[in-house]
Amino acid sequence: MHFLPFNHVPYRLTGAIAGLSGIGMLFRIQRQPFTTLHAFIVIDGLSCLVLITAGLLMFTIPAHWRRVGQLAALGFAILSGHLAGIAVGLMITLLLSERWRERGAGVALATGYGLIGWFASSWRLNASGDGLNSLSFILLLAGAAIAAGLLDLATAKRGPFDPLAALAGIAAVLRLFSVGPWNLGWQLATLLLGGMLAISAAWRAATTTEPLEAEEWLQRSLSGLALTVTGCASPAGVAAAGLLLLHLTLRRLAQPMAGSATWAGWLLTGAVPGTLGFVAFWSASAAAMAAGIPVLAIVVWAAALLCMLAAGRHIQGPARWPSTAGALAGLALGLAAPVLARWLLRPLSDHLQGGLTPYGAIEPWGWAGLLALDSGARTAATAPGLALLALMGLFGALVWLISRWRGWV
Amino acid sequence: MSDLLGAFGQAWLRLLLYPGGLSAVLAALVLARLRGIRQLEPLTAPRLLDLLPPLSAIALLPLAPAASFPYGLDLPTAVTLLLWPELRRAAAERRDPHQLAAHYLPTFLAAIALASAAGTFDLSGLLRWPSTPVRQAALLLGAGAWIAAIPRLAPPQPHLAAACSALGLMLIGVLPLSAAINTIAAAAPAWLGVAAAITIALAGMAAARRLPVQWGYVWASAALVAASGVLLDSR
Repeated sequence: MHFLPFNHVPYRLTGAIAGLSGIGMLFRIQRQPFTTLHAFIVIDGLSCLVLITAGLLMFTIPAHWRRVGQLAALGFAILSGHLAGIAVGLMITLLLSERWRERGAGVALATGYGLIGWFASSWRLNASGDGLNSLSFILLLAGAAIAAGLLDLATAKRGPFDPLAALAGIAAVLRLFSVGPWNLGWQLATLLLGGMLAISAAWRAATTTEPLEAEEWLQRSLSGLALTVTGCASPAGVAAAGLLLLHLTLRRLAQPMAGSATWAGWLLTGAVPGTLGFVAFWSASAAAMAAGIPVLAIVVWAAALLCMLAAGRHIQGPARWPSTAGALAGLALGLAAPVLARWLLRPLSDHLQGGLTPYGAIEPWGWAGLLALDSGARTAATAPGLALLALMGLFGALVWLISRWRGWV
Repeated sequence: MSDLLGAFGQAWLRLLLYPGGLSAVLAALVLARLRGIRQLEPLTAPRLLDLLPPLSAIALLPLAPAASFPYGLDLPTAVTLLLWPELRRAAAERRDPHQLAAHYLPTFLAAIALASAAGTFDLSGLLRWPSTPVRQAALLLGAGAWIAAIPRLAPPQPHLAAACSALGLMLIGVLPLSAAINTIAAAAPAWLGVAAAITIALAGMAAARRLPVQWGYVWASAALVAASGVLLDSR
């Protein structure tokens, strides 16, 4: 269905307003979430992350009025402190999507939150923990997985990846931590479904020969990974989900498959330590290890390597400024990961703390990089991004000097 | 930031001589010769870029008797750095992912066993000899499966980056072996344990090269069974 085209300038403006609002609100909610209008509006770390990523994603989608509607509805859902508001916002977000799969996912998400409110003693987000039930959870998980592209794996008919729908699905599952803690069965289901989506989509991305198709599978895999680490139900998992969403957003903004310089393409694959992509993949694997699930951690790493391979296979010229700028931004964000962890990811996990387990946290490691700690505060994984890049720089200079001296190069 | 600069200042021996730098390059050349590569390609600018990640990974390995480095690596980071030349090659040549999966699956199975036994991804965790027999078995079998998988990885390439990559992967397998030897022969110096472990690893790789491919999977499966024992043991 084609509707009236939307003027580009106000369209981009809505995206910019959403993103900047998210950044502005982040300063306000560093210590505690902001609630107003009798807790009908709740602004927390998750709200800010979703607004920032959704705002940026608007720059990557063709201008259309329905996208503005999606953004507004998603913003309403993520700022709502009332379960009915969340349900309605999520449903509108996904009903405005272009495919029936996403619309079905929207109904599932809305029904899930609606049922929680129905069974709970209150419809307020922070007082509805007694309404959590397995049926709601199944609907929410299924909705999120379908929005992230689960049905595209199963069917031959493949459609375009809808990033706003995937973001809404993942945000809906993350928001569940504000309602209350999950049980182990729900965690296991999320880990299995998310892991299956992540590895299958990564495999499709690595095996396809068509660059744009590979990029779409890669983004589905990133969404699957975000869903998987959410299943860890720990501060580390939530932080990793945030980093994966940021990496997905950056790849969409940079569009490396449409043409990029070789160096820029590789910086965007996530294979280079110190880049945002690497930090995102590492944090996903580290979150699983910190949660005491080494099998999942290795599976996640295998999916990450497949994503890196898929992205590396389709690096091709000509160099374009979005990919160059995106690669530099990815490097800057990756090196600033300790700051990102303190400023963006800590509010995200702190404000969802009520529903999380203590099995894993990702902490800044001085300026060197990030550190994952398990429930006993022991080191589960380390990512010294800045230290590694500095070391490689030192080695590079040394080897170059020796090579010039010996006349090898 | 001063911590970082201080760490590099104190670790120059580690970076230039051992385990990185000169000793790594020499050992990589020896290993390449043992793997049947007589002549390495001359270094070119892209090859130099490929060399840096594996060389950095080797420099940061927690091998005795090098002084410890405060910003150590973990298993996924080290493996990604070591596989960088192969990843670049596989991407450039559009190699068949099915073939790659067949090459690397035993390594990933071994990694599960190593991470389960150590309880952490931190590479220094592989140097801590566990107290329970189940974990000890998982760590040893995991190390064995890891080393046995190396000859089955992608065919050796005639350049220094690939040689450093193979050396680094072998040295990761050496870490648990040296922990075992240093525990058994507690009175011996730590470097002797590393030397003995490297000898065992080289012999293991030579033996694994002669065995059929299926043996790699059998060993990795045994390591996985032991790793599942670790899960039951910790309940």
